[in-house]
Amino acid sequence: MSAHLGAASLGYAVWWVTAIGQENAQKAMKPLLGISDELSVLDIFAFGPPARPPYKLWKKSLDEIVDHDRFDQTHFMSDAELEEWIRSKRHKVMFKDADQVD
Amino acid sequence: MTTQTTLHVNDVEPSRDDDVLDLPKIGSRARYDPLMAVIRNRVTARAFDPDFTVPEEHYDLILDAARHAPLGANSQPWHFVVVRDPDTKRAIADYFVDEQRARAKMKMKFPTPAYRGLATAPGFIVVASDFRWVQAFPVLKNDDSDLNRICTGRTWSAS
Repeated sequence: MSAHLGAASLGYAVWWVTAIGQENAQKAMKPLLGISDELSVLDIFAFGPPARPPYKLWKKSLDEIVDHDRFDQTHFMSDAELEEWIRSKRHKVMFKDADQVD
Repeated sequence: MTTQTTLHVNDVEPSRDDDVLDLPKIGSRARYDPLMAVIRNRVTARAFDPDFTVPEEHYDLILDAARHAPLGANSQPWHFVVVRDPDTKRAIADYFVDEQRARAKMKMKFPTPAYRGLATAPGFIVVASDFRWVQAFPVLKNDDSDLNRICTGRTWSAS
């Protein structure tokens, strides 16, 4: 994240691609880069001027995620609610801004 | 408990000296505000201008930020490989594209981005970790606690 912010502060758009837990990623990348067996490739950190104008992704408001002293049970999603959210909303919130999430 | 802090004349420029802590006065927004300007406006892109050349000093500036990230037991097991060779970038992008296709065939309903754009990234840094540094962690009980699971299973979170 520090690298992310460092790059963002210089004006770059960033992209963090994870290779954690992907055995094939290790096999594919280590020989290309001459990385020893003992090491693991964690991530690719890509940055540069974006090809298309970037946009701000929506973020949950503090009210939705912050509690005081005790966890607020109204913030808890049941398995069914969570499943429904993943099924109907997840793909939208990953790639669209808040206005486009219905 | 109070922490002794010194208010510096130049409150925005962090010290370049590794050994000197230059803390702002508690509550001073001299650093918070510019930091939030960076955080709030940080954007993800999945395709880049491939013709742009990242100035050498930018790698240094960015990786200098990276190496100051907090890490468990301050173990610093990381290695950063700056990739400039377009063929290597393309080969790595190819892997992720293939991986994505394999997952699509398995009908994993996971919205994955278009990895092809990875090859277009002018700045391309591979982060590797030496997991032998797990030994730098305090001894854990061999139980099913969250802590044990995190440290022996998922291990490091990247910075």
